[in-house]
Amino acid sequence: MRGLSILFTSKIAVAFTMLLIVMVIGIAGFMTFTTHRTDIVQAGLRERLQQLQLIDSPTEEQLSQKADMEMQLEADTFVGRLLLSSYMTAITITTVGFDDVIRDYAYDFMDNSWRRAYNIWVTLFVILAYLAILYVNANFVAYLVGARLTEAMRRRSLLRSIRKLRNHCVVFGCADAGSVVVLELLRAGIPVVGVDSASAPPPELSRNRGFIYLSQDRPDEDMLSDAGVERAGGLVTMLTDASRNLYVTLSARLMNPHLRIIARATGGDSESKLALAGATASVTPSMTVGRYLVSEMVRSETVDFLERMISDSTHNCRMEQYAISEGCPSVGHALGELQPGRKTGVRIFAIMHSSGRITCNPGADHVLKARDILLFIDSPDRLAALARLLERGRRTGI
Amino acid sequence: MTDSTKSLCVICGAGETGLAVAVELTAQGFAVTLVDREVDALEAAVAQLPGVGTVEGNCLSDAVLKEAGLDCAEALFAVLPDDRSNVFLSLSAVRMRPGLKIYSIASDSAAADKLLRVGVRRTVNPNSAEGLCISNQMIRPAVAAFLDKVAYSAEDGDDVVRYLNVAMPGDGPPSGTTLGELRMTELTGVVVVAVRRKSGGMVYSPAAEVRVAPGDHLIAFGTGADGERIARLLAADSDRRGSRS
Repeated sequence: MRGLSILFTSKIAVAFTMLLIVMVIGIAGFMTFTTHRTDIVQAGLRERLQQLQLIDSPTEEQLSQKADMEMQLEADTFVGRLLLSSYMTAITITTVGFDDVIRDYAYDFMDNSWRRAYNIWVTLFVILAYLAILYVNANFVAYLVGARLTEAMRRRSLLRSIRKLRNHCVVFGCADAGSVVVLELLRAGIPVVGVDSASAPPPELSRNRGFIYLSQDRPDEDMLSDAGVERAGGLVTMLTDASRNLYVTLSARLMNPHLRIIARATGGDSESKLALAGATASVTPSMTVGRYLVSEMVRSETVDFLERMISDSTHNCRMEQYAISEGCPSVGHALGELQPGRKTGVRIFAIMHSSGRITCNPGADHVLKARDILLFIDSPDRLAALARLLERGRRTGI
Repeated sequence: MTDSTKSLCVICGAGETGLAVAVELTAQGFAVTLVDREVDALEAAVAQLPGVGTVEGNCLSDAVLKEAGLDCAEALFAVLPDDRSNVFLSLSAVRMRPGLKIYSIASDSAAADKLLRVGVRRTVNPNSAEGLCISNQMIRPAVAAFLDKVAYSAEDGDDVVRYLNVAMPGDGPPSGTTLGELRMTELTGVVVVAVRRKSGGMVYSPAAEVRVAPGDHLIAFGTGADGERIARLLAADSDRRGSRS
């Protein structure tokens, strides 16, 4: 439906309407002249038919003449003239102009005033048709170049692929820090639907597998449902406008109560407002930067270490986490028994317990509990290997 | 206005970031002077942080920097909104006080390179800082919580976990020793999460076969006592070998 409404509001629609009007004018004009001829011819035929019918015993020749005339009367129909006029109109408008068929057909039956009218009519009509075609051509080319038709089709196929996504992450605001977020999520193997006002995503994001970009052409709620927020696992809203972040958070929370929502806050009481609207967590950019800069001086190396890790393109390592689920078969087993280091290469340097307490450098005798979160530095592949190791017991029994 | 017993930090730019830096520094016990052209921004900062000193004026002028106390400051934070101003500011500050600790924001890598060349200690890219913070909150909330505790918390004490960075001593284990041979985890209980090479390269999550050399740094997380144990182990190692030879 939306595709159709685009057609009706565009210039191309105006161009096609114009073309239609010109065709109607053309056909009506040519119909006038052919009908004029028909009126004369048929009047003559009828008169002669009447004369023939007055004859009591017509000869064979007269009978065949009569049949012939009746046929002529039937042959010259409204539909026939309409087809002829349409043909003439079409070859005129497209400037093909094989022959002036109407002239051949009707000229002999015109007196001087009719002929004058005919010539004026053709001249005016050809000029009008030519202008209309110019306009139509120009707009049609502009339409194709502007690729609005292809854009509408592309959008439909994007929405189709979004409908297939489950547990993806929706990112509102893909510029600057937003693009860092999108790349980090993709790196972790999470499909991302990005929404922003620009017609195309930032260059570093285009051509990324698992990333779908929607340029915003509708209100925020509609974009949320276009991005499939009902089926998503997370939403990041980092628009520059604080009130819109609040609004997007609130709308998304109403659409999906289980969504993990991380929002950009702007200081003041915006964090508590976002929490009230349903945000899982919020990040204030100026505070983050402030903390980074100061920790640089006070506790100088952690941030440097983390930043180097992220900007180093020769590695794909991040500080990662793996949460032990309630039903995980590794619960109740000691690290020394599971041997994650020897079997997967993952070196667990800390465990965060559900209480928030941290055990740093857990020993081999450390027994895993449900909802413990293992912390380590490694690549996504190793993270997957660790998950396989810790979950394998589900089937084999450690 | 500023307390003369505390060491002073000058912050150029009293925008949101400048104010956030001021809040952090005040919490860490530093005296802070904010410099900005906009009197409104300074007034807003004072309203939020009553103890903060302010200087109204153009940060790019040496006189204003002097007035802010750059001569006796411990550090300068360049958080002006555009990169070029930060480069210019850092350059003038370095000329006035060679060796001054300068920290700056830089929104792209080209500006960061220039700043580091000028002599800035560290640059922070606001976009990647925010982006990483948000993506950690989304996919790795436990990592975010851990970093909050380790990297940014102002807590101090014996059992506080911190980032440990221990250099391999010159007279320690010889070049080519593997991490497995050091028996770090067995003897100290500490997990080495990365090795920073002397050349600056990094090996993350190093396997037991990774070889280390004097001048490399072993990186781990642990308490101050853990750090001392690592240092002792590396030194003891050299003693053992010293006595053997």
